[in-house]
Amino acid sequence: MPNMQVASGPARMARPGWFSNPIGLLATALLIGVGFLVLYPVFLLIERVIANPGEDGLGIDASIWGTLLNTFLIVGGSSILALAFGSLLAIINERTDGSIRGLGTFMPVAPLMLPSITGVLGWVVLFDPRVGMVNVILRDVFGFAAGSGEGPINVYSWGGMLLAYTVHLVPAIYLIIAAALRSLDPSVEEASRIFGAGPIRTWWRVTLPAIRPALFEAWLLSVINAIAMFAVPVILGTGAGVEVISVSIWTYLTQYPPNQQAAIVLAGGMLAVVLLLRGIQWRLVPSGRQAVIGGRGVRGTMASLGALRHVARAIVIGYILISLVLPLIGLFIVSLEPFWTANVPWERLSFSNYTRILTQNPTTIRALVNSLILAAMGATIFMAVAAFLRLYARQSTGQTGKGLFSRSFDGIVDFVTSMPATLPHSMVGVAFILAFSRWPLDLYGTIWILLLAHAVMELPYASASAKSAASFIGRELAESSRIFRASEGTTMWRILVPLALPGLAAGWVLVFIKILGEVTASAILAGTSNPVVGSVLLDLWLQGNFPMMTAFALIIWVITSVLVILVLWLNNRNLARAR
Amino acid sequence: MKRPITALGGLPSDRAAGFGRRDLMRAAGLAALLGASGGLGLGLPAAAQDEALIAAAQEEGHVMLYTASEESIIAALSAAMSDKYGITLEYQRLNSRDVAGRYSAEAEAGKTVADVILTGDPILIDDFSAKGWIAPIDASQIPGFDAWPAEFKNDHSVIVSINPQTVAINTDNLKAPITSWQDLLRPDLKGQIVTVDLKRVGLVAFAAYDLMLKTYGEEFLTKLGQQDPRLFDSGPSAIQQLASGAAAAYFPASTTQSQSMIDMGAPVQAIIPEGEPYTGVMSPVAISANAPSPNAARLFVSFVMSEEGQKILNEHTASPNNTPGTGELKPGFVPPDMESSAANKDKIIQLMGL
Repeated sequence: MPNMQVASGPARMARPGWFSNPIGLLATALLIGVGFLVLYPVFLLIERVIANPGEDGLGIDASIWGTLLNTFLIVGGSSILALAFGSLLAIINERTDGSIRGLGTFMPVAPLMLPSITGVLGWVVLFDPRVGMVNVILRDVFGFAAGSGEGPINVYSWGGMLLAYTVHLVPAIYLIIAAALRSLDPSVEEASRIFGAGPIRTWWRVTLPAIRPALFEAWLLSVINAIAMFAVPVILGTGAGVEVISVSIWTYLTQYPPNQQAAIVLAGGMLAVVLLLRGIQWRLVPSGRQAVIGGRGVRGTMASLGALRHVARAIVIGYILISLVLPLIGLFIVSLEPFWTANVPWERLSFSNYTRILTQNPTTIRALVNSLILAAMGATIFMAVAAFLRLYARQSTGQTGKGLFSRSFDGIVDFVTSMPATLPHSMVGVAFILAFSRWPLDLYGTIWILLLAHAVMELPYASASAKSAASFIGRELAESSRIFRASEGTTMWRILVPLALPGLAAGWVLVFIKILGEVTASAILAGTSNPVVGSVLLDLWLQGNFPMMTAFALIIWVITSVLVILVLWLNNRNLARAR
Repeated sequence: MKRPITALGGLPSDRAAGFGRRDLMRAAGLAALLGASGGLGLGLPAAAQDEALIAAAQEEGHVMLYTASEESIIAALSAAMSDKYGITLEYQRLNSRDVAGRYSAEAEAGKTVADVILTGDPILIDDFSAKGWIAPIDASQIPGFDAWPAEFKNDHSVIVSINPQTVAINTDNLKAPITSWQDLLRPDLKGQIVTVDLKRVGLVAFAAYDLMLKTYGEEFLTKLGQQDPRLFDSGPSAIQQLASGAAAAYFPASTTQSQSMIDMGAPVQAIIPEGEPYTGVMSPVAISANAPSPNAARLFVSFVMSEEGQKILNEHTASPNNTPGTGELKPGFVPPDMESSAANKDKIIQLMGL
């Protein structure tokens, strides 16, 4: 196994501590800055709650146990389903001839680009038990449950919620696993195949174990993602009578008068769960023991699936149909209607909603421009910071052997960047108003307050993608660079960054899309002076203007899809050139 | 939860008996007479006072409104303000609980963005006023304030719109007309009613349930709950569902909410059963204590009280001073009893089986 190494023991070269060089200082300063940005607003919120305690206890009643159980079942179930399915898609696309040329790498992430409320509404349009288009067709054309006027599929149910959660989680998992596979040296798999193992056995016994850290990271990220998910439970959960924590917290924060105390307690509980999982990750998945990119250039070959190829393609196509194409068709029809109705008024369909958005409504255009600027700027800055911290941690970890600080810089980065993971976005919104609408930083009503809030909200995603990207770079590379007397900066810029780039680009896309689609905090922090896509979508929804909202969402989807395809294409081309 | 109780000008808020348009008109006339003898605070002739306010407001140039009212109505008000005074009315349109949340979050952070707030919960405004966030208003500042009916104003706010809570129906789906509230319990409406999830929405939605509870007893709500109403997260979601054909009736739907779907051509009608008591949403307008544009804010409040403003604001809803050309307030109207709604909130949720 020439290119696979298992973690090296104590490093061979004694080096000064991480705090005594400029790169180290910069890393420390960044980490402190990030920590401040997360903690300062939350402390202000907690201080306010302590200063004004509620009159009669917390205001949390026994129904919270049911809510916690619901959250546990849905988050647990959907994250595991999504991990399995996301990994399967990644393997199909990265390692087999079952991928669909050209579409393969882009399509699994495409559903992410439908801003979250709209994605859910796409499903409602399709699977509402009475007026959902799929249900109407199943009843009228295929005779399922004919005459009952209802069913056979009910999206407002446990099954509907699980499926919606899973579909929303798959793209992020796919991005991380696919990047890991792309970075993984395929010679090991080839060796396995040479020794007679079939492709499935090889993936199960060799490939998946080799990317175990990425698998765990992706799962943890989807747990975080699922805990925070808001649009699915608030729309589907209300109809299904299933309440989850994110909605409870939102209710506590936005009811009048707000119960910030209860919200903070619940958010604290969620944070404890995520930190616990991080602890398990540190113990069970030591980041050193994994397959890494070796120093030599390699190129993977695609496994031939034979007849199974058609099954693989069917899986990919089925996923794309359910998660993207069908909702898009449903939403597109609605966007042409004067109002949402199942009895499509074919003769009255028109593009007037689109013209109104693009030519008459000044807010929608401003929101779109603001959001694109925010998302591009945010994704670039946050990924740069996360990549720097992760690569620095990767490079320095283990160097000094016994040095406690050095050993755990990665751990500190983990801790700091995980902190905001379960901060509900509604709470971020409220805390940021408190923190940044007065001296010394009076940013309220500008897009900068949104940028800072996004920094906090997207930090876990940026950091996790960067960690996954960094973990595939063999330490031997940084060490060889040092042997040739390259400085820390040179090592990082010339050696580590280029190697981590595929993973970092995946992270960039993820953060870009999440910023663009964020609704809950945006609704609190954005106003008429700083409209963004999320807040305007919500406004249109609240004004009861569903067709105009879907038209706007589809415009956003087209623009972001083009941008993301471009980034992924550039990235793949660079990668191909590098190999 | 503690809410300061400030009955608006002695409005008979706990009176279950309905009062109709005649009562309102009598009250309006009386208030007009009182207003005429009260004189104007600045000692200036009314016209000069208007001129001074308009000039000061134009100097400020724009006014920021936070509101839960229908977007199309506010857009029309904005256009009128611009045409008449050359003042830009900017607005943030949110649902009532989000208006409350946003306004209070900003006020607590010491950041006043909204000059004016117009929302459906008078008690909320009283609460804000008690916290010092709302500016006192009187006749010396606001042309037209004196003449406004006494029971629709107090020292910090003016009720400018009465929006009846109806049952909205989908005319394609409803099999037989609804002629009484008891009709909501008909077997053919089982599973055909949509409503908002009461655990998710502000107090405004409870007044209609509270009236049903007090008029028809607990049994009514229990049976309504047994009709398996389908729940939605907000009024707009529920009315969309009704319009889309997923249900036959939506209770309680405000008149403007139903109207927004009717305007789009949806097969929707807003029904108030003949001869039965009903309530509605009364929307006060108030000015922020630290309003960045206080004069433009006063001019806006004055404008929505004027005949022109009332006609725009209350095209389909009722005008407190009965401005000609506004929607009719049918007999049987019972003012929303927000104190009782707050007290019965948990009971209503429980009776409905939510």
